[in-house]
Amino acid sequence: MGKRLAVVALLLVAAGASDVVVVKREGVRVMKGPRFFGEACTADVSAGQQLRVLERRGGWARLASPGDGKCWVHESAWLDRESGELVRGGASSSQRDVELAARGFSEAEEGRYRAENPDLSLQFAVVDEYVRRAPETAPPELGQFLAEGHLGGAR
Amino acid sequence: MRRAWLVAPLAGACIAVGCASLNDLSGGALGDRAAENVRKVGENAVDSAARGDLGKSATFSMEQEFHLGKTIAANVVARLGGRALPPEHEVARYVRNIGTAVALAAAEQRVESDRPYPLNGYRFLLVDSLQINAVGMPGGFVAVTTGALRAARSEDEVAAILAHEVAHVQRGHAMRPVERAREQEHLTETLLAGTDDVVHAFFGKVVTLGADFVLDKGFGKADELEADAFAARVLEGVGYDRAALARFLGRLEGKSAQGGFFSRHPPAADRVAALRDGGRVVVSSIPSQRASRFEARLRPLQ
Repeated sequence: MGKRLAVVALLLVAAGASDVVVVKREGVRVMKGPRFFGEACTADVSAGQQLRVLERRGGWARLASPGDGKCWVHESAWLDRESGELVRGGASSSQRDVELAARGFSEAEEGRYRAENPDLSLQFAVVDEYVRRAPETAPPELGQFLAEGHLGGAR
Repeated sequence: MRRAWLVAPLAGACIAVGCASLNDLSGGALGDRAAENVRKVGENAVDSAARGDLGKSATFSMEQEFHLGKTIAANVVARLGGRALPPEHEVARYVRNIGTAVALAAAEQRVESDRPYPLNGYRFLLVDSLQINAVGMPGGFVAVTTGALRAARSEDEVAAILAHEVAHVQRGHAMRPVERAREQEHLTETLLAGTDDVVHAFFGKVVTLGADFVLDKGFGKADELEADAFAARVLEGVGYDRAALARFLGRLEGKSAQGGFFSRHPPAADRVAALRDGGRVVVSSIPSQRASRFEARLRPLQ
């Protein structure tokens, strides 16, 4: 009986240790609680970083680090769809799917489109400006905006 | 019964997409096969739906979706008049604050079938146009016109417009016409076997197709009503009045003749009725601080 419990405990520890996620994008919010509308941790995470998860709650994960177990990241930080992955899941992707996805709309394809449509250069410049200079509102400014408007947790 | 319900609209939609993409592709073997292909599009859609295969072909990665969305966004800005306010403009910043809150609340309500969060986050483009319009595009690009802001009477209504467009992005409505075009069997074969030029021609048309859908054709009644219902929940998640969308739509009912936001949607009366059926319509009072900042921030547009 004791041995069985020990095995179960070991399995649980192993499962916990293997709960690692890989951040897929930049601009991820690291929060002090499992919600976006609250105080943010000062720590940053970046694309490609591996995060060990201590606890999951809803769509949120509490991290071992950064933050010494006090910071949370939403699953939207690591959920992604790789080339060839299926639209709605439920079946494995075929070789054809993978090959087809590889012929997607790449950065090079965008570049070629831009070169062939010089009449859109002004509009591409507008979109580029927004991509470069208008990311989503950062946590401190957003917190102030929500508080002033009696929104989020401030209502 | 469920299968029949699936097949008819899908076949119709696929035929429309097939025509839009194939008829414009000219020259070479693809051009010669166009007529036959158009006929096959409908048959393939029916067969695929019957097998339950529709939607199981390869999708775009989030990076590909970003580049596609960016290109569609440039086309949309051009079609809306071509001018946008600078990102640092006071009103653009205000829209970005509202949009960010809405997008985060939407992310917390995601379901498995949703698109992942946009690779580079959302971008809320403020387009200088008298038209009352807002557009959600692949890759997290959302364009809203100054005309739409002028038509809103509260921050909650602006949030409602943005939440509706974020719903289209998150639920995958904005990518569906593009993915459906590529799902077609003959297009799949063309893309796999074709030269880079053929692939390039296809994607050029896909950009046009994507812009057509988000600006003119719309996503269909079911998707629009779903986006409305989702928007109402998102508004509540942020703390906005969930009745704001119904109020905005009700007030501007009959504007479809003027184009824009209303021309590609089901009648506003239907949408308001669906929102009322879908849940509580409790008209809450807007805090005075929020009301006064709305007046102040939008003053530059007056």
